[in-house]
Amino acid sequence: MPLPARLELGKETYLVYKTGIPFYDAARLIGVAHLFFGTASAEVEDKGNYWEVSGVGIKRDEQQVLWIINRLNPTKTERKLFQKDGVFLWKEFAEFFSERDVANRKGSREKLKAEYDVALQIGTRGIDPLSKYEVLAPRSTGEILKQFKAPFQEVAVATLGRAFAASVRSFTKRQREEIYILPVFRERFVISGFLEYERSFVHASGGWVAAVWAALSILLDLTTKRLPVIDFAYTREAKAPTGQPIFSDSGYLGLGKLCIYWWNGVKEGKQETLNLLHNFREFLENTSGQNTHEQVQALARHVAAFIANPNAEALTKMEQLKARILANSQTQQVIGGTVARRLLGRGEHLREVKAMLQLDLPEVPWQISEALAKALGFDEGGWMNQFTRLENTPNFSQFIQQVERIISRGCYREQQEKGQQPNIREAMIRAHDLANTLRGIGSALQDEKAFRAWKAIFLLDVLSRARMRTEGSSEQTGEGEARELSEEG
Amino acid sequence: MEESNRVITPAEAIAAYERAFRLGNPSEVEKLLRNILNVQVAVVESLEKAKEVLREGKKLATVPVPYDVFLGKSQSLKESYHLDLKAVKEGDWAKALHKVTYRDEILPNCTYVLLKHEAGYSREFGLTFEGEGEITGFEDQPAPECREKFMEGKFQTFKEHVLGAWERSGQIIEFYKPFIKTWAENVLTEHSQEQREKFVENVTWSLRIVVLLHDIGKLNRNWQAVVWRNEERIRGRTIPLSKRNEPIARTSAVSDPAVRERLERPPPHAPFAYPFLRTFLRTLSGDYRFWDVLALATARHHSLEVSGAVAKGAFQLSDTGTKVLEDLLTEVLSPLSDEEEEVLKHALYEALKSVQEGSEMDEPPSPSDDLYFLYCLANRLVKVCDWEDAGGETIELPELRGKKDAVAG
Repeated sequence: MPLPARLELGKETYLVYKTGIPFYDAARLIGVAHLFFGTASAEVEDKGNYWEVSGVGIKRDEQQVLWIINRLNPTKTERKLFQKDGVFLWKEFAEFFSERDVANRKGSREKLKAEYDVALQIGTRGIDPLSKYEVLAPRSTGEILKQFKAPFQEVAVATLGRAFAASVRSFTKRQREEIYILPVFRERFVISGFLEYERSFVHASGGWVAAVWAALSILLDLTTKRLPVIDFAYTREAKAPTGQPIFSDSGYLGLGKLCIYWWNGVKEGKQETLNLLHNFREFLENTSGQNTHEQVQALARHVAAFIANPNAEALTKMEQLKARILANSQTQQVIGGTVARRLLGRGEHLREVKAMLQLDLPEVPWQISEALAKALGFDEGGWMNQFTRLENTPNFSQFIQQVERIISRGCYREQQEKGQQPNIREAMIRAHDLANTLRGIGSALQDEKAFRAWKAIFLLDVLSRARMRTEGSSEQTGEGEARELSEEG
Repeated sequence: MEESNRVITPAEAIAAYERAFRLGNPSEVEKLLRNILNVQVAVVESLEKAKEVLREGKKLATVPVPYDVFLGKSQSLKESYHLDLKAVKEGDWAKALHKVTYRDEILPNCTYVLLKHEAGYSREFGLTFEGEGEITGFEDQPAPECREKFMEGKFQTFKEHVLGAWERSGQIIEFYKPFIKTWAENVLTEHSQEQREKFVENVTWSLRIVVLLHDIGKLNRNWQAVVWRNEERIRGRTIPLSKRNEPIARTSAVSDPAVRERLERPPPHAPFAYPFLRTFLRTLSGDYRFWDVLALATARHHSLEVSGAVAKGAFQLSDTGTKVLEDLLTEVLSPLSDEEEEVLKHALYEALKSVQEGSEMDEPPSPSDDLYFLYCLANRLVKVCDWEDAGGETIELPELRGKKDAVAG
């Protein structure tokens, strides 16, 4: 079989020059890739001040492009960016983006609205506002001189890229906030086919929580596409109920750590990593409703903080709130209580949390957390008091003492429950033996930060094993809880 | 229509796109696809019994259930288990059946195991998800698949196996070629007829080459050492080095279960095909994304878990590896001009360098990607040729190929 003649299929290369405005740039890059390659493969490479997007040229389906744009409920002007007299402007787009010299890129100039990135709005928060003093007035004045403009080709691809953004909305009595999020990729990647992920998010705990949920969800939805996401670009506008802009910002969400953690999980095929992220996503998704209990909403804020920046403080807060939600669930119906119980509800999750923290922490001895959970279970009404004492211990030695005390009481109660002759000495010896296991890992927990992180993980492990009766059985998610309880049983 | 035979007809596809277009809602298409997507469900007597049967090398018989139906019904089940095919393959029985705790864990195209006391399965009515029922049963794994997966059953040298697979690829590719041609005519409309024809020639040639070189990972020194040791255990005697100068591809059949217990599991070999073939094809046929797709499809011929990522230094070519590859290529591609020989050697050298340097993960094309067709074609061709050669059977289009052989004869 002879060698075939070398293939010389024409490749097309387009350049997207960076402006330094993150969301606008991210939208234009995705827009160019989709506009020219769509269902084929676009190979993208970061060349410093521009991205090079290349691939084998294909005939693009115009209707497909317009279909994507429809997601934005486009205005007449936005539709006109792509067609003139019913003819799609392929030639104009191709010429513009294949031209290397920016000075030679020609096209009529169109308005850039704040939706493309709030840095492009008119006023004090725009780009280099002092270069033109008259733009410092609020944009609601309708002053046309104050508009930023770009060649229509740039505006068109930014519009197309924007149609791939996830939208995050949050409402309070005083303001309405809208955030648009797009993934930002590594210096070299390939976009093939559609960039599909869940794109609409609203969370009771506010815009930041919803934004983290959106980012997490995009990462998990892109898992099978294996696209190397390194962060997310966003643009946000907060408006008064009257529509008056009151606050805006744009930039990067700063979720680099989360992206690295996710990417390592994808790369190494670590199911545990993805399971933990799914656990977080499930929690945020199921607590998004406006009727979610306030404590659960607060927990969601700390979960979002932890996902964005894994640290001992956020984890401790998560543990404290989860414990209190479980305690409250015993006497009242807490909307979101069942989901809170499932949050970090398995040993596998807690091991991964440890990995996320990147601290060299010792393993949680499961026999002790099991014994502690059992002991607390005997004190249905007062377990929270004992648990709080554990939380408040300032160092490891006091923590061990407290653990020993609770377990010895639990052993004593267990003997009584079984109808045995109570033997306090035996109970104390058992508790002492278990506490000795803890003493063995003491040297690794001398550092205050390490101790706090380990304590939070340990207590979360205890909570995941606890069998407290709750009042939340009529919640929607009650079935899941019943299943969990039967598993524990 | 039976669910197992449910396919999407062009009319349904067009209707779905039309509906999505009119409603401006792409999830309409997803909804339809989700309905078509199935999960496989096996019903067993007990978890222990299922594990025992899997250990014996049998397969769980399954029934397809629409994904969304299973997702809904799973809420009412107390116990359901996800069958981890990778763990089964690796003999990791502790992980083979993993209890499903969250809805999120239920994914299309995966296999789930239910217990007969709550699955309510009957051959007549299928799965009712209510109360006591029958089990779905077990199946023996097809011999060719077993032989290829477990790399035993018929002693073969590397050369014998890859030439066998190559031979079969020549027969099958003739049946695939018209489809490749049509694909190119529809996708590469921007290019001249001549270029399209050239493309078809290049792709068909490359598809055969990926079959020929799909097992490049078996030339890894470590892999060879393990598999030759296994062969010695099977034969019950030491094989002198002089007699094992040829790389091995598969060990002889194991008749004694005690010997099987003592066999070592060879390290993975398939992932190395990705960096090797990617570089080989790009060097020979031009810098195009198509070749990455063919290379990844080949590297995933055993498992879809393969991502394309290969660690630097994980591959060390066995002592005779270069010569084996050079001879192999000369044998199947000759006659070659001096210039072509040089080109080929250069590509081989670059490819070997690349596999030793490792590679990063790559993205397999999704169904919405134009290259998905080429990916599926390559993956199928490599798998089928591999199994056919390992099992000595004709699996792909046996009737058509039989007729062709008869005519040729």
